[in-house]
Amino acid sequence: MSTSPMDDLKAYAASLTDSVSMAETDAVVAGVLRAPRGGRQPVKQRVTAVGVVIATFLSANVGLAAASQNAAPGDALYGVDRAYERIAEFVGISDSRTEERLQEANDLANRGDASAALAAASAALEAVSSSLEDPGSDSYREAANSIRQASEEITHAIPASGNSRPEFVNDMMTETRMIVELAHQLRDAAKTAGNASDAAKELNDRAKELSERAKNEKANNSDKENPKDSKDNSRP
Amino acid sequence: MQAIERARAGDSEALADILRSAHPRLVAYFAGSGPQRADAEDLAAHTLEAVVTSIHKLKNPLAFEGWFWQIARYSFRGWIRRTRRPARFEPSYAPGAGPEDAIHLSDEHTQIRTALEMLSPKDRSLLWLRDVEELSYEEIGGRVGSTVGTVRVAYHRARKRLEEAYGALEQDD
Repeated sequence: MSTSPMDDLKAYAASLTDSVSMAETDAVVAGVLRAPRGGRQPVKQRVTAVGVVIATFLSANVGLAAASQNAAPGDALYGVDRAYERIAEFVGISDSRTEERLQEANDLANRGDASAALAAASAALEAVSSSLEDPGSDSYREAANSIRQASEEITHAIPASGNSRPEFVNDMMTETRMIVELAHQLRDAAKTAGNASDAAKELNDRAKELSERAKNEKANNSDKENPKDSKDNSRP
Repeated sequence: MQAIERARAGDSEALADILRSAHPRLVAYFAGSGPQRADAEDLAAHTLEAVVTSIHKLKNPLAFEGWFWQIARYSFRGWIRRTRRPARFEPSYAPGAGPEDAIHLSDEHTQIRTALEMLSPKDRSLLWLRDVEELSYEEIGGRVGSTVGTVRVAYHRARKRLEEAYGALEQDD
């Protein structure tokens, strides 16, 4: 009763698709459509692993212990975690900063802390732009610059009141994730000497678009915060 | 196609319909490409979130399939990078099905699942998009990274590996 692997693959796919109940789909879709969005995937597993490495670092480096005092709101391990990353990155054994910042941005967005989430997204972009500079080609540099610019624009777009629109935060989170993903792909492409210039261009375009949107958001924010600057003086 | 057009224009009912039809396929794609069922469900939800936040940027509704699966692949590659662990499989029976059905389904797909397990996540993803989702090479290549030729070669290699793994398992029986 030999079947072809392709037929079997299709049948297997159909069985997997059928195994998703309508109720489950409805629940997920309802959840996705209900704002706020922006993150998922807890980092619990990672915290344990990081903890073990931190213990090793702590015993070897008193300075790190001081750095770990520098904890942000939230987890007790937060500061230690960041200090560990910085050292690991400094000695060139890790490229985790981007991923960690992104994860923080997700977590903060989930907690509803919009400005901190945007700041973390901006930091993720900053980190990914630094990581792109190694290969040294012009298209990479251009993309890296655009990403750095985008990172700055995000921070400018955080209103003084701290109340960013949830849609804007979601938008920035998605874009940041995309940019980080593309940057990783670009670096993979560089390793295999593939044609990376299209990828660099795509990355560059996306980063520029993100900058534009952040600039618009900033302009909207300042209209709201300084109504007297606008022509409409009738508002209180 | 009209639904995509309407969803792009902000019709939330049309968007919900698209997401509902995409969700089971996404779960299947992720579960079939490596992640455990729970991870596959997370990845599917994450992909749908990204679709919701960026559908207004989709310029051409005809390009929806390629665009959509590109997002799914970003999610998948992110997962591979985050976890950096070899993919494992779970039995894929319907939660509502009785135990006989579960055993039946599980038996029925053991060979293909085991063969898939012998491939890299990238190969599995490629085979899935081409053979299950029936995307074109252009759609799989997307705007980033690979040319049509590269995708075609990678696909044929992946397919050969699957056929070899599958054949070897058949001989073992």
